[in-house]
Order: sequence, then C-alpha cells, then structure tokens
Amino acid sequence: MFQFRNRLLLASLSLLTFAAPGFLQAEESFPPEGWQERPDPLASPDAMPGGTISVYVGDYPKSFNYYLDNNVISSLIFNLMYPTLLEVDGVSKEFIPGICNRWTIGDDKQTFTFHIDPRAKWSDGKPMTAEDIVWTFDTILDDKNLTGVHKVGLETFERPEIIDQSTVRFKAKEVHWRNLLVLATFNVMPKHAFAKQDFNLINFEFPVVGGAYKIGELAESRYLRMQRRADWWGFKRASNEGVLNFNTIELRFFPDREQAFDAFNKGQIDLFQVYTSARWVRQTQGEPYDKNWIAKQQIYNYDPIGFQGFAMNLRRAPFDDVRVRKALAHLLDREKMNETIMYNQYFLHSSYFEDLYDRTKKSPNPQFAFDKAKARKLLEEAGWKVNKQTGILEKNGRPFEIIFLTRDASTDKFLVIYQEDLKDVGIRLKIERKDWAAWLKDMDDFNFDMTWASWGASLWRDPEGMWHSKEAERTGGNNVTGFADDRVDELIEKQKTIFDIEQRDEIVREIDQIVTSEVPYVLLWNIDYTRLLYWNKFGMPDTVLSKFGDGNAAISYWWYDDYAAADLQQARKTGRALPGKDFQVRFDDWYEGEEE
Amino acid sequence: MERLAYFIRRLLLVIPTFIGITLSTFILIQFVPGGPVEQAIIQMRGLQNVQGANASQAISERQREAIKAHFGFDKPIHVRYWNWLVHDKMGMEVRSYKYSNKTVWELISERFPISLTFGLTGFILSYLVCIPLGIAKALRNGGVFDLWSSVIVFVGYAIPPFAFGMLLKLFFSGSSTHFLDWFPLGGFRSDNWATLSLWGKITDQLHHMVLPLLCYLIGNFAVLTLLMKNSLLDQIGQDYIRTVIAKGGTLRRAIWLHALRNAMIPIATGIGSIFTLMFAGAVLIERVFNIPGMGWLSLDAMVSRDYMVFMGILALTSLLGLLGRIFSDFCYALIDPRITFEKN
Repeated sequence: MFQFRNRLLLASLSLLTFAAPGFLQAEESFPPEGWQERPDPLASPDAMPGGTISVYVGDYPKSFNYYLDNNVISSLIFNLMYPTLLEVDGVSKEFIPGICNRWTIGDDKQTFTFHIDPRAKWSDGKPMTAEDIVWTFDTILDDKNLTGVHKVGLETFERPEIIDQSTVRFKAKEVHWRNLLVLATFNVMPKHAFAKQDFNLINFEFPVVGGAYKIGELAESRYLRMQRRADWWGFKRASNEGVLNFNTIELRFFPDREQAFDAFNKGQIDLFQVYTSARWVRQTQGEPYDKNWIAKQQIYNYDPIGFQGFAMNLRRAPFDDVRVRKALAHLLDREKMNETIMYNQYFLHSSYFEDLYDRTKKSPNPQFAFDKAKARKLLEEAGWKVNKQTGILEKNGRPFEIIFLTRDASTDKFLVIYQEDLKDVGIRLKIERKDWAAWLKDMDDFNFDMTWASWGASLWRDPEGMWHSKEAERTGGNNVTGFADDRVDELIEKQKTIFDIEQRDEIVREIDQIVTSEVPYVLLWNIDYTRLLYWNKFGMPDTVLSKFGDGNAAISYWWYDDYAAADLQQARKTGRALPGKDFQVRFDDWYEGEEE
Repeated sequence: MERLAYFIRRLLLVIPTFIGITLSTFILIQFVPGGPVEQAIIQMRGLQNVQGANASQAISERQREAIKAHFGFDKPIHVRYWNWLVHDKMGMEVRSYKYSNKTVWELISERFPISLTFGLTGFILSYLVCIPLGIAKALRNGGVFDLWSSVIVFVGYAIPPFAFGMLLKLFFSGSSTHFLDWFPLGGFRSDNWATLSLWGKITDQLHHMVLPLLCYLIGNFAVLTLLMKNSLLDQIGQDYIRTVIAKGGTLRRAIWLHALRNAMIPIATGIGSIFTLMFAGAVLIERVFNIPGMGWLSLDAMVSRDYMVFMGILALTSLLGLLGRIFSDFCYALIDPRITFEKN
C-alpha cells in the first residue's frame, strides 16, 4: 500500500534559496553527491509491460508537433516522443535527470550548464548531443517558425553555448526562478532528422524520436497508435521502472464528446474522463456500470486547479468601481446554480489560487455569498439610483446595462439565472454570443463588459502574466480584466528572484488576497477531483492516478492486466457482476509520504 | 444547331459566373474575424485548452507579422486572389491550415470517394424506389395503398435526417445497453479494413452504410415519390392519353408507352443536382455517423476557418453546380423534343 523512497535528492529549487544574495557560493551541482536514482514511488511493482489502452483525447489536432500546436493532445503525444532536459519528480516536484544526468547552476543564478547522459540515444542509434539542444533552441526562436509562445520562455536566454558534444551552457538575461523550469521542461528534437526540413511542416511524421514511444499507426481524424520502444535507453533508469507499461497507447479522436462517450459505452474506448456533472450523475447507469464492468471513480489528488469566473473589464465604467464589482459578485446565486444545474458537484471559488490552501492553511478570503440587500447597498454607495419609471439603475443619466460576451451556448442556463437576479435590482444584462474567433478578437481589442473565462493552472504558480499591471494593456495577453495594483506589482517583482516554493507561495497568497478583495472576476466554481470511467481490465497503483496528474496519468502508471481482462470478458459473456471498486479515492489515504 | 450554340453560350457564361462567385466570397471572408492568422495565434497561445499548463501567453507584434507573412496576408487582396486562382490552381495546391500536411486537392480527393459512395448509392436507391413507388401510387390514387404509403413518406419527410440518424444510432448501434447492437456506431469502414478478405470488405462496407443511407434517403423519398406520382397523374389526365384509350389501347399501355416519358420531365430537372449531391455530402449525417466525407470536411473547414479548403470546396461545387444545370437542361431537351432555346 505505502511505498517509500529514500529521499536523498534535495530540491534543486529549494537549494537555491540558501544562496542568499551577499552570501553567494560557488557553482552548485545537481543531483548532489551520494544521490541515487530510485524507482518512482507511485509506480506499482506489479506493473507489467504489454497490452493496449485506448483513450479518448479530443478532436484531431492540427499538428502533433507541440511547438507548432500548443494544445493538451499534442503535448501528450510530443512528450511521449521527445524527452526533456530534466524530469520532474512525481511526488516532490523536484527536478530529476532527464536527457541530462547532471546540471549545474552558476553563482550568478543565471548560468545553467547541462551534461547529457552518455546513454541518451535517438531511436536511430545516434547519440543525443549538445548540437541537438542548440538546434532545437534556434529553431524555436527562428522568426519564420510558428512556434508562438514557446518563444516567450526561451527568449529570456542568450543563445546557448556548446561546451563539448555532451555539454551545453545557457545564460539567462535576468535572475528568475522560472528560468530553470523553462530549461528543464524543454523538449529536444534530433537535428540530424529535421534540420533540412521546413519546421512549419513537421506535423505528423516523426521518423526519429528520443522518448519511450514512437508513432505507430495513424488513421487521420480517427486514431493514433503510439508504440512502446522496448529498446528505449530510458528504461534502463530506475525511475522508469513500472511506468510507461503499455505496448500500444491508442489515442482516439472524435469531433465531439458525445460520440466518444457512445464509443466508450460500446467498449471501443477503455478510458473516459467526464467533465460534466449531468453525465456523471445521470448517464453512467445501466448494466456495464451496475455490474462493475465499467469502473466509476472520483480521484482526489493534487492536480492543479485553475479558476473560472465572469471577467469584468476594469478599463471601463462601471466596472472601474470596486463597489459595483462586489455588488455584481453578491448578485450571483452560485449555490442555487450548483444545486439545481450541477448536482452539487462543485465547490465555490473563494480564491484565484485554490491550490494554495488546504486543511492546514485555510483561505482567509471572503466568500461573496448571494445577498441582494448587500448588493443594493453597494450600488447605492456607488451612486446608482433606480429610475422609478423604468426600474433600471441609473447614474448620471446612464442606465446600468451589461453586455455579456459569450462563445458557448451551454453557458446560457447559468446566465439566465444571473440575468433575472440582476434585473431584480435594476441591472439589464444582454447576452451576446460569438464564436471563438470573434470572441477572441473582441477580447484582444478589450471590447467587452463581461465574459466567462476559465483558466488552467500549473504546478508552478506564476502570477505575472495575469496580474501584473504591465500586462494590462497588452493585446492578446492574460490580464484580460486590465487589473493593475502597485502592491501586487511589487510582490510579483519580489517573487521572481525567490527560489523557494514555500516562500513564493507565501507571496502569492498575499497577491491572492489583494486580488480577491479587488474582485476583477465574479468567481464561479470548480471541481477538485477527476471523474474517471474505465473498462475494468487494468492494473493500477492504489492511488489510481499520480499526485499531480489528471486522467492521462493512467497512460504512465497503469498496465494491462491479462487476468482482469479475461475476467471482464467472461463476466460480459455470462452477465456476471465484477467486484466493485472504491467510488472515491483520495491520494492522501494511500500515500503518506516518504521516509528519510 | 441552335441548341449547340445555346449550350456553348451557357458553357462560356460559366467562366464569369464562377469568377463572380469565388471573387465575392474571397473578398467577403477577408472581413470575417478568425482567419488563419487569428487561428494560428489561438493555436500558439494554447487558448483552445482550458486546462493547458502553458496556456495562453501573449504573442508579440513581431510574431504576429511573421504569421501574416506566412499565410500571405501581407499582400494586397487582388494579388492573393490571383495567386489563389492561377498560381495555386483554384487553391488546390495550397496546404490546408488544419490538416497542414496535405494540400486542398489531396484532402478533397481523399474525402470525395467517401461522399460519392453514399451520394451515388443514395441517389440510385432513391430513384429506384421512388419512381416505381410514385407510379404505383398514381395507379392506385386514393386507394388504401396510396394513403398508407403517403403517411409513411410524410412522416419520413417530417423527421430531420440527422435526428433520425441519432435515433437509429441509439436503437441499433449498441451505444445503450437497452437497445440493439446490430450496426457500427459510425465511420466509413472498420479499423481492420485492410486485413479483411474481399467478402469481408464488402460486408463491412455495407454494414457501415445501412444507417447513414437510411438517413440520406428519408428526406428525398417524399419529394421524389410525390413528384413522380403527381406528374404521372397530370399526364394521365391529358387528352393524348384519352385518345390512346379511345383508340382501343389499355390504360397500362397508355401509361408505360406515352405518359411515363412525359412524366419523367420534372424528375429529369433534378438529375443535374447529382453532380453537387455527390460532391457536397450531407453535412449533418456525416457528422452524426462520423463519416469523413465532403460534408464533414466542409463543416470542419467552416468551423475551423480553414479558408483554403472552404474556397476549394466552394470553387468545385460552384463549377459542378453550374455544369449540373446545363446538364439538366440537356436532359430536359433530350426527353422533350418540343423544348427549344430560341428567343421568341
């Protein structure tokens, strides 16, 4: 049940903390002396290589080249094919060897030297070299290549220097904790295989890979079969024992989720993640579910939680008045929506960084409960008065009207409830629906009052893009509300040079509290668990998923269990029920940490 | 001779009409937000993923300009249209934005046979069923058979084909354990198609075609059957039929030898649409059954603003539509020698 791991590895990021300014020490090397590679503490020793898993991933992407098509599916495929300089420990978030088995950080905290593992080879047998790393770097930054945001991270470095065939040195333009993260998670491609091609056309064919999987069979718009490379050099590493077990990972593409769900129910797909409460509660019934042929589980782990809310355009009135924004937050009946539309499946946001808080560190932020009286008072304070003839709030002769820009018809059922409550206090809400592209254009032009925005989250919290005032006027940026606050700017600048995650988190908590009090979004709700459906034929760790992963972690940690598969087949034939599994699985119940 | 001149004139008119259609569309789509440049930006910023860890970072102005140049949007519109029409052969040699490893022509030529299979089979089946059915209804006009077949045909007409498709899938394709599992959920062929024997391939293909074909047919039945029936009834009431009977001929003889040919004229007007029917595919049916045909490609091109594919399909369908109309007139003239194209 519990798996232990001697944790000799010290956090590369944490170590940097001790190198306080003024007390600079010499170059630091990682991993530290005496460090030994250990198996992934979450991987099961029972895992066996072999078999196939078929997973629904979404619609067919425009490219499998993650550098050209920045989406979750391409990222999944690309990461199976092309390794990164370093990897991230699945429990501690520390960096562990990837392509590079040693790395050093200069005492200026801006120089990073990476040493390639001598065993590291491409699938055609050629060694991975410093030239591959520099070529990938150059390719991403080349203006003519459509590598978009991938340029942003790497632009903060000078062109890397080749020390020798297996050593490369990067120099960052400024000190920032993010620098090492950018380099560590940098996927390297083989120069000899791609240098002569137009990079913008490398989309679906990757003849030479460096990761555990290569492209097998591809049926355009239908499926991609990734084949495990038994000869992959990485399998010699202890950290890869018991992971990446499937011989074939079949990624299924469907233009819509409904079709994919039908295919899952028919048994053509093995694993399906559910994102809507109606499906989770009402559509997971019938023989395969009742007889446990299909397992249904809610997995509670530490998968980063983003936030969603109604973003308000603080650049224009009346949203430039915090009292109005607070009033609008008090007028949203989230409890009612959660209860009547979402089967009480969600928690209500009180933070922009929900992961920062847990049982031990509770959020001090106020919950903006549904309270019309409070909203009326705030609006009155802000100078809005009801026009007795029209029943609409007015200020300086201007009626209170909000145009809600939306791009998804499924939001209407929530907006209608909001619309009614707003109307009751004298605010008119008009819904304007546009498609993705038109919506985005309006957003880029800051031409909106209010819109629904959902944001993902990263394991490493970086408040700069969304909350720094210098981002407020940037077209196509993330600070869509135009939020600007001097203290927040100051805190963002401060956290840049702090390498200790805990210390940074403390700062981000302060930022969160300021932002929450300023109400740039009417916060909505979110889910803190993964809803998983799968045909009952796999072996898996007790935690089911990894500590920080979503349903796709199954691809790494599960294995095909011949006995379970035969049992399932027999059960389906005879109509027999299989033993049930825990409906709720909590990571902390099965994993209590590691012994020193 | 006058007919030949007429058809040559019609053929020549195709050129300006075609340019009119494509040029106006080309100009129009410049004003629609969300072109390839915006699409590329969305893609690069990772905005299509709500949960992307690297999601949404800003793109610099320099990158924006590079994207514009990449898609040729740095050139004036008339240059772009000329390039599209001439250099890129109606855009056929340009790469699709979405399926970036293929040219528009490659994509269309891959999808076309799929739609052709359904379109042609549907077309033939509907004519094979509707013409005899229409005749039978005309001969039994007002009878029990006519009444019941009308009820069935109208019910079919009233159901939208895609909704019918969803019902068929629910009841017959095993997505729910409460119903039957007789047919595949969708797709054009099974994944293991290549490994099947010839007989296996034939049955697999038919197996995949049954449900979508029913949807293709359901809407066409009513129009074609009633057109046939009414047209024949109309002819039966004509003087020349009465003359045939008065001269001692049977009604059967009058219908089969005389009325039927004339009754076919309205049916023939629709025959030109076979060109576009086969090409355009049925958008919603292909979507419901996950059939990667022309319909799906058109929808995909529109939704993902894949303009080059959209323009390519438009160019071909317009051409085929224009030629189809000429072909209809030709069939019309062939069936009815009385038709002339002279100006009065």
